Amino acid sequence: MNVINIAHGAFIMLGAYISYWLFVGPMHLDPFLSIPLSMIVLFVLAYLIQRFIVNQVIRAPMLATFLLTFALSIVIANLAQVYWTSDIRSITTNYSGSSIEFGPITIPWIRLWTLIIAVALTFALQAFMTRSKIGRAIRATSMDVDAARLSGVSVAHIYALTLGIGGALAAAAGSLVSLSYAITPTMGDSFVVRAFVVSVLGGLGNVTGALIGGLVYGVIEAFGALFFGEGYKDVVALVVLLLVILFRPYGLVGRATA
Amino acid sequence: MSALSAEQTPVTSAISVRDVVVRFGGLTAVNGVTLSAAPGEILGLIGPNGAGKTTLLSVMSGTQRAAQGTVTVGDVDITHIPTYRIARLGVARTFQVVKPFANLTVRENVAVGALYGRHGTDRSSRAAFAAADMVLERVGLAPEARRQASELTLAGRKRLEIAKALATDPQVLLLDEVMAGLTPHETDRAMELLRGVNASGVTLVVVEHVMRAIMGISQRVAVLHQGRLIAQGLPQSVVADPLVIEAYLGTRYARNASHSDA
Amino acid sequence: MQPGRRFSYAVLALLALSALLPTHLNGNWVHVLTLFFMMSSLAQAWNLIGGFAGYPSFGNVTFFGTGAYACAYAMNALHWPFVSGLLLAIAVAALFAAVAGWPILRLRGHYFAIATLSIAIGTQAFVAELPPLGKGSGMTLPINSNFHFFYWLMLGILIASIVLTAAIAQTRFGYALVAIRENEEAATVLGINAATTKVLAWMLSAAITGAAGATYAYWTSFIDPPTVFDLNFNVLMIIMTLLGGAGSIVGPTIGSFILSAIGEYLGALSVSPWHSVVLGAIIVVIVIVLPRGLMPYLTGGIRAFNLNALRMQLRASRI
Repeated sequence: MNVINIAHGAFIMLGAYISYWLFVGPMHLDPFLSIPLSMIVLFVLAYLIQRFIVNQVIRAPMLATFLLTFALSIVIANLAQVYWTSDIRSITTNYSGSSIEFGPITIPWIRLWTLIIAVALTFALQAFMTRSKIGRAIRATSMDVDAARLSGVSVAHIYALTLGIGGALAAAAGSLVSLSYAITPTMGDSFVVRAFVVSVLGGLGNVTGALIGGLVYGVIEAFGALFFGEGYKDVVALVVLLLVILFRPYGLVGRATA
Repeated sequence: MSALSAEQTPVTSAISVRDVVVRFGGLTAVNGVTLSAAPGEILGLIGPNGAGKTTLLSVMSGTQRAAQGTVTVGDVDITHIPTYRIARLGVARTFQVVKPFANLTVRENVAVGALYGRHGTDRSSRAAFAAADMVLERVGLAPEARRQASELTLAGRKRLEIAKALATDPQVLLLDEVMAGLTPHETDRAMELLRGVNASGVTLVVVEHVMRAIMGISQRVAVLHQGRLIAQGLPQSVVADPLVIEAYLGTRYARNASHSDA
Repeated sequence: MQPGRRFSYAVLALLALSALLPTHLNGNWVHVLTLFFMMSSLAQAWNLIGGFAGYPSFGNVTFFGTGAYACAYAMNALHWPFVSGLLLAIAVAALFAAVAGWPILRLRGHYFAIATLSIAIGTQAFVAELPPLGKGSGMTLPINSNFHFFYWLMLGILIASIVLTAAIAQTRFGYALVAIRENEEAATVLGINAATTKVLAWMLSAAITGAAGATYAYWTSFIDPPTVFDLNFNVLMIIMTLLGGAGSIVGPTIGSFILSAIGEYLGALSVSPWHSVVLGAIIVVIVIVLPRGLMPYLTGGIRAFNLNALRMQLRASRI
């Protein structure tokens, strides 16, 4: 949809905090189980943000949406800091340390389930985008806003829905991540950058591409850490990003449009 | 269908293309076209939609690279030269969908052409602005000089497009459907302007759909159809050429036309 | 640009006059103003590539950090005097822009923004790994407590950047930049060498930014990657420029003045996170309501406020 949402990281952070508060609160809800809840909350929030704020500048030069979402991410992250303080939090469940063994390979339970759920969500999204009426409306709108409008699509609503879905997925990511990473108001920052890298690697607008991009990126980051040392892995990843942008802007698996 | 081959041309052409092929993915927009415009002539370029006329102009101006073939200006091979250098050699063009510098004034728009173009770097800013003023007079836009380019009407923008190109002091001016969307009166004024430009020694290659305009100003006309050159010659003979009629209107009309000639 | 020119001269005159201030102000004010001059310079520099050429760089802070580290290295490891460190900073920053600019300035829109953002993040990560540069824990510089010196230096850099902008705006080069911004293809067919022009603009932008970085390093005597490659600087540069008026001559300084003033007021009021919340809200308002920044109102007066035009422009940019 050509909306670069910098606040994506903030959404991830919110998802993580929702899972955290549900976990330490009276309900003691397991983070995996709180995923649907965090998804719903962020869906609504993202929808409202898009509908009433970002939609105002969609047709303005791209810089406008970039800055707007950046401003929103600042606001959200700092509000979180005001209400929840910057204290680092984490979630430890009774299965946090366990792992499963496949022959010579040991995989932590949490990581395994995170992978499974992430892949499942990706395929669900892909199916939704290609098979459902709304999914088709979204794709149509992204191709030609005016034609979509003439076909009866409520464009403002569709844009809002799209960010809503994005927000929901960010929340899911946040909930999943809350089990493995430290929870702070600014945790979103490192994820946003990675999200961009992965999206560009897979081709902007390509859902399954993002999955492949994620895998490729993960491997690159791991090998980068292996060869150059832990600190350089960000550099390696960004160099890869730059190379991809320069030479294959449609991503590793994408195809040039026209 | 005769086209004078480059070897037979006694005088170097102002601009010419030779065996040019342009492909967009699987589509071959221009399929082996050889065409040249003699210095000082007005060459019309017509053909049904999608024939490759704009693409050919783009190749001539350097905004599009040919997959095969050569493009020459005078005796300089410009096939692989960057666009801006082709402009500085004296090839100017207008765009079908006009590209004004919206947030600059009309005068500034034209001045950019004068500041760069063929003599741009040889003269001072003041001289360039003076040259721009003269172009504005010539084109009839002097009254609008201080207005924002975005405030002009369509006819005004088309004239601005021409003015910008003229400000570069070109030897060859490529015009892409400048008459589209103009009223008959505006078309007449445009034709008059172009004749005046040509009279001062500029070679014109004019792509048009408005028949009246093409027939009115062209000395020679070339016809493209599906990327190929199918006819070339005097306006009247090209228009009566059965191949051309067939390209525009289909075989039935072509047959009828040759019957009615007899 | 005529009415704007008088305004620009007025601003320049004010700035020149403020050179007389330091002796009459307490240390805190000197500090605040020095910072203001610095941010304004960064914004003015950004304006060259973002406002004039129309290429919004989200990585200009890279040059700030590069300049800071170049100067730190020169003074700390090579024991050069500050002037040499400053010159080195300018040279390194400009060179960086030249080398990175060739490939990156070919990109448009989103891709350009992401690419420049990546350069900023990547350079920070890279610098944090280099032992000669203190690896992550930062570098120190010789201490210089003559704070008036830094006040005047930053002021000088700011005035220089404004004068440079004004000079560019009246020449062939300036017209080439705005032509590229308005319609790059049209600019090319008129004979403008877009590639070289853009890179040159970025080099100038980087030079000013690098100079500010070097001065900052010497001023604070200690730098580390998160501070001098802080992306918030970049966002501030952009917001200040947009607020004042991108593509204008002194717009960035005006925007910087307003935002700094607000920041000071809020800082005096309360705790930091609210500060950022308000800043974020301000950005939202600016982006939606002031596409050309404040410049049209500052030069045209209240007459420039046209409710209808504003409404139409809002309608044009929304879905």
